[in-house]
Formats: sequence, C-alpha cells, structure tokens
Amino acid sequence: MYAVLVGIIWLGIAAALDMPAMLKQKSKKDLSAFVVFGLAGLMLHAAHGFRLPFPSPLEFVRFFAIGGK
Amino acid sequence: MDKLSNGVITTRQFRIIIVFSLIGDTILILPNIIGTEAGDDAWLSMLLAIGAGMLVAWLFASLAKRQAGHSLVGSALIMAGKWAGGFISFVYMYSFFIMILTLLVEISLFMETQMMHDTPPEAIILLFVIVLTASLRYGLESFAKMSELLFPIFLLMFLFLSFCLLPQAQLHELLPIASNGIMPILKGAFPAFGFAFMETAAILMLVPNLQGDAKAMSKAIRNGFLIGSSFLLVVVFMCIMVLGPEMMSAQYYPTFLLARRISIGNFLERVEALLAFLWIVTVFSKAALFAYALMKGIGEMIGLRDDKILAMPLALMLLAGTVINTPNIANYNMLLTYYYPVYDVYVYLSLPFIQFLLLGLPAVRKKLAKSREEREKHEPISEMD
Amino acid sequence: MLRRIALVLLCLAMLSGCWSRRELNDLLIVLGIAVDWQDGKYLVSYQVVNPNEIATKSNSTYRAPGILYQEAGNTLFEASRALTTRAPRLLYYGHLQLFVVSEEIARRGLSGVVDSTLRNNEARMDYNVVVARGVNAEDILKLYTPLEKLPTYSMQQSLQRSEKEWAPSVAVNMDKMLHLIKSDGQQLVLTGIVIKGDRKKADKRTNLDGFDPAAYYQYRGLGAFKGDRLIGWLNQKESKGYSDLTDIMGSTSLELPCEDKHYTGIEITASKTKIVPKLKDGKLSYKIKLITTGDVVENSCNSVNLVDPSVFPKLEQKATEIIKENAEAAMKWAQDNHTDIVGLGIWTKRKYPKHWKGITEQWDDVGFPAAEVSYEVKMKINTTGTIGNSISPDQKGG
Repeated sequence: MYAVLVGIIWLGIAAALDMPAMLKQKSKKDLSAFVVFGLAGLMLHAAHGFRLPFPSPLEFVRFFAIGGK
Repeated sequence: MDKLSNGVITTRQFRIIIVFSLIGDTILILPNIIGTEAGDDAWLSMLLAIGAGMLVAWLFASLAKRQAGHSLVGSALIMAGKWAGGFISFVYMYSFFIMILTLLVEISLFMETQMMHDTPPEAIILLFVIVLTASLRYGLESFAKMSELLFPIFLLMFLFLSFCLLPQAQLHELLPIASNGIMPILKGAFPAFGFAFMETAAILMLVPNLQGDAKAMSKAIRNGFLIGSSFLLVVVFMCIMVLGPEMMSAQYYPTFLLARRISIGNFLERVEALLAFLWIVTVFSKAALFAYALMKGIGEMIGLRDDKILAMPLALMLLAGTVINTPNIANYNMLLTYYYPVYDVYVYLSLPFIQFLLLGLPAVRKKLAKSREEREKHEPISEMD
Repeated sequence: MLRRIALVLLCLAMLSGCWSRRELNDLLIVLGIAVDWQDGKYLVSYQVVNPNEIATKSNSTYRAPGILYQEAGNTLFEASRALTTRAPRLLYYGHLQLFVVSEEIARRGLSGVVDSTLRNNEARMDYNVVVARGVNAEDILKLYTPLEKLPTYSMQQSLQRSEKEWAPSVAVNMDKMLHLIKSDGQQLVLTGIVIKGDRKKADKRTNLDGFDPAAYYQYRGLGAFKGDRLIGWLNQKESKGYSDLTDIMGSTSLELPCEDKHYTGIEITASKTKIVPKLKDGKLSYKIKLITTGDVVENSCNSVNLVDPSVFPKLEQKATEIIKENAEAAMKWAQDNHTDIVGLGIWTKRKYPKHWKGITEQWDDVGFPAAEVSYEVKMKINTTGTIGNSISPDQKGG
C-alpha cells in the first residue's frame, strides 16, 4: 500500500515542479515521455504493492552466464 | 537537444568522475570476491586486472575520440540509423538501469548489515534516491563540481586510512606467491576487471559535455584509470596484509573491517563510521554517473528538448526496481561473482568495441561530422561560465 | 527563499537522528560473555556494566559494579533475546572485552559458539577469548576484583599484560582466533583462567575485605586446540616454550639455579624467533633459531660474580639450556598430541608451497609429529641493573 502512495506523492511533486515549464513550452515529446515514464514507475510500484509476482530486472543477467568463468 | 542544459565539465572534473566511478562499488564488494577466488594472490589478480583495464582505457579513449563530440548513444543512433541504433541504445539504457539498481541495493545492504541494522533497507534507498534525483535535476555540471570538491577530502581520508593501517600490515601474508597456479589469479582478476574497468564505459556518454580537445580527453581517461587503479591496488594490498586472506573471504565488506582495525595509541579508535563516508561517496558518484548517462541516453533516443524532466520519473522507476529486486545476500553475491562480469563483457566491452570499429568507417564519420556541424550552428559551444 | 528554508529544514531533519538510533540509556553495555553448556543448551551469562557504580562522583551504594544476566538457549541469540524478559534494555555488544568459554564447550568445538558475535555488526573483534578451567564460565564473571572495579577489564588487562611480560599467557582476540582456526598451518591456543581461593566468597563484596582477597582469578596454562576443539593443556614450562617458538614472547623471567636453592634471575628483554624449514629428499627438517637478549635482574647466588666478564658466558650458557628446554618441552607436547600449535606448517607453506599442498591433509597427524627439529639458541646478557654485585657479605669477588 505504501508503495503506491509513495509513487503518487513522488509523481505529484514531479508534476508540480516540471509540468508548468513543459506546458509553457508546449513540447509534446517532453510531456509524453514524462507521462509514460511516470506511469511506468507508478505501475511498478503498484505491482509491488499488490504483491504481483514480478521478475527482478537483474535476473536478465542470468541469461549470460557461462556459470563461472 | 540542448547539450548545455547539462552544463560543461572540464577535463579535470572528467578525470575525477572517472576515478570515483572506477572505485565505485568495487571497493566495497571486490575484496571479498577476489579474496575468495585468489586468496593471498589477490594483489596479482588486481595487477592483472589493471593491466587489462589500461587496454580498456585505450579503447574507451579512442572510442571517445571517434564519437566526435557525440555521446555514446548519440553516435550509435547516427551510425546505425533509428532502428538498429535504437536497439543498441536500448541495450545500453537497460544496462545502465540495472547498474544503478545494483548500486542502490549494494549500498543499502552495506548500511544495513554493518551500521544501521534495524533500519529497513527501503528507507536507506529512498534517501539515496532523493539525493540522486536532486543531483540529476541540478545537472551534470554541479555534480562534476561537487566531485571536484570532494576529491581532496576523499584523498586525505584514504591516505589516513592507509597510513594508520601500515603498522598492522604484515608482509608475510603475501607469501606464498602464486602457489595455486594461474587459474585462481585469473578467476579473481575477472570480476575486478568487470566491476572497476569495464563498467566505466558510462563515461562515454559524457563526451559532448566535455570542454577541451580530443587529446586532453584521452589523457584524462588514461590518467583517471591509472589513479583509480592505484586506489584499488592499495586497498587490496591493505586487505591482504592487514586482514589476511581468510578474513578477506569470510567477511562481506572487508574494507569496513579494515577501517575498524584502526587503533592509534589506544585512543584513535572506532573511526569506521567516518570512513564509511568514503565508500558512500564513490558509490554515489557511480550511481549519479550512470543516472546521467541513462537520462541523457533516453533523451537522445526519444529526441527530447530538455532531458532533465526525466529525472523524477526515472527515479520512481529506480525505486520500484530496487524494491522488487532485493534478493538475499548469497544469491546476490553469486550473481555478482559469476554472472555479472560476463554480462559486462557483452555490454560494456564488446558493444563499445563493435561501435568503435563501425565508427571508423568513412561513411559514418562523414555523418557524424555533419551532425556535429548542424548542432554547432544552432548552439555555439561556449566556454564554461 | 522558501526553497532555501525547506532545504535547511530537510538537512536539519536528517541530522536529528536516524531510524536505528539507540540512546545511551537504552543500552545494556555488555563487557563480558561467558558460555556454559548445561543440559544440552547454552547457558549464556552476560556481565553488564552498572553505570552508577563505576561513576566516580556518585556515592556507591554497595551494589556490584556489574550485573550478571543469565539465560539459557539453543543459540546465543535466543538467549540474548530471552533476556529481555528480565532486563529492561537490549544488549549492546560494542564494548565487549572478554569472552569466556567453559572447558566443556571448548572440547566440543568453539566455532559454533563464537559465530553469533562474529556475525553481529556491533561486536568488534578486539575482545579476548579465554577458557575457564575447573570452574563454570559464569563464575569468572561473578568475581569481585581488587583495584579495578570492572572485573572483565581487570582480566583483560591482566591477560594482555602477562602476554607481554610473562610468557605463559597468550592474549588471543577474535581476529587472531579466526585466523588460527581457519589456517591450516597453525592451530589455536587459548589461555585458561582459574579461580583460586575460597570460591564461595568470590561473588560477594566481602571478597575484598581485608588485604588479601579471599578468591581471585589467575591465568594458568595454555589450552591447545586441534581445529576448534580443545585437546589438552600445556603446563607453565611448555607454555613458555610455546610463546618463544611462536615469537609472541616479549619479556619473561628465567631463573638460573646455582647452588642450594639460590637462583640468578634473568629478565628477557627481547626475543626473536626464526623457523627455517629445509626440504631434502622429500623429508622436512626445521631449524629453529631463538635469539634472545636479557639482563640480570636478581642475584642471590654468592658464587656468581657479576663484575667478572667471564661469568657472563656461563650464565648465558645456562640460560640457553633453559630456553632450549622450554622450547623442546612445548614441541614435544605438540608433537605427542598431534597438533601443530607452533606453526611449523605456516613456515613450510611460505617456503615450499608445492610440497605443502601435498602434505597439508595429514600434517597434524603424520607430518608434524615426524618433523625433525633442531634448535639454535643464542642468548646474550647485557646489563646487570644499577648495581654490579649484590650486597651479600659472602659474595665472592667485587
């Protein structure tokens, strides 16, 4: 539960700090990138908060092993 | 993309950033790994790794020159076009991302096991990420200046640590030399090579922000590698001579134990918390470097105007990543010792090498030069303000 | 402006303390731990400092300077946490000074017992480990000691001092202990501690009434280990030899007999030991060089004329014999008991690493007992103190 809360607060602060500048400059790319990444982060937090099984990004490294060189 | 949004860094700052990121988390975890593999020959492993590392330094310096004022990702995009270049950039970005995750997890595990036992690791990571984000939003230049400021302090404390331990160093711990043959030494050298030297590839993302000519840049890279390696070599020597190879492989963070051993005249004791500052600085520097690289890379891939807006969302994703990611320490150690260095070879060595070769092609060179001219027309390169 | 204030407040907030903070009056400072084996469980006793008693300003209320908390448990951690049912605070291991292990536990194996403090991030590695001989380990921590209010401090200082000045004690701290247990060239040795005198009075303040404490502790003998198991005790002579052979000896006393229960006392001021292994035809032999210097500090022999230069070689000869006897006794004990406490293995490993690899498995049982050892002892006596000959009226010469 706290995970999602933290995510929302974090995004709120981010929005407050960055949104005005971006809206003024009307840069679509910036805005969409911000929103996409922000939502991605929020989604990850939510996944953790609801205890969905999520593979760790680090596990990707395991594909590369020769099992101890 | 406005390169000046991140500021300009001098070659001196560049060198210091390299030194810090080379030491990075190596100094925390490497002595344990290298002690387990090579025992009292760990210093030989380290020397071997440094030898190989200098070759890598040469590779990176040459690659930086060929990038012709573009960052690693930028040159990949120009060289291979949107799709292939985008794929290469994505590989880099993903690697940077998990690198920062690793660093965060490491520092939190370190703080938790050695100093603040009851604090949940998430709190430590949160604090770290807040500082990281602030540093990202302020830009590369402020980070570089801060590193420049911190370096003398770092050097002083490091020298203090080394000198205070000299009385406890026992040369005979270095014997017998190479008693188990060359295999353990190689096994120890490989992680050292990976953590310290190969992972420094992220500095190639900073090339556009560098003030100075190509020659100064190569010199900075070379010197940075040399200085960083000497720090690491001294630490490995100290670990073997003061702690002995058995303790080095038994303890998870031998350098902290080194700091605990300082006892001058029975009154200067228990200074290990002060020296933990050293490791936090280097881990933070490495994390910040990779975070900048990540931010910048994504900015270039998408074609953003101001890449600083990515700071907070990225930080959020980092937080999420670490929270999902914290494994148990045995699993984590095994991952680091055996799997990570191999992954490093692919992403931080082979890929830059391929890029290096491709950037040498005359067609690519023309494209790079043209792109640089165009950019300079829009924003003239100004000197540092 | 607002941003600056927020920043400053944020910094202040971080300075005010952290999550894991524990205030001083939240700590139960453990000075000594004693572990016994009772009914299949560890009986752990913690000697905790009682701050009111050792503060010099407040009036002592005749309570003990420390408190002994005891709990039983299957693991030391269980015992330490079970202690919270009796103690108002949680234990803090940062100032641990002494770790006493009962002989029974030492014989069963040490590594399990010390594991808990090793993993603990609060406990440092500079506390000394001793084995309780003939007493329960808990009794060691219940002793009232004269001069020093805190018994563990007294014991620790005594151990470290006697290691330097009187060889048959060895102050082993955790660092060294780990090193020796894990190393395959040398075995562990720990000092034994006993309580002499009237044990019933030991844990009462009346122990200190009068000039002579009714009960007192004493370090006696070195316990030799094989791996992490205690296998036997060295007597005083052998212990001195051990100290000498492992180059721990800083100073000690030698007594050279002359005639009829009179001795010349020698103080050893410096001692260096070198062990040189030699590999010939697959057989190992060792040359042990003991280089010692000393002074004459006491002379009750009338026949020894300390002003005459020719007397010195004779004294040195006698001293050499005694040093050699000590060393031989220690070596013989070690070889008979199949445990290389002297460290011949380490010297071999440094010089002949390849050969060492082949014999390392059987070293303590086969290689070490069969090792041939020869001694080369050099002893030099320099001064005789501030006077030449003693004031005895029967003193010849001078």
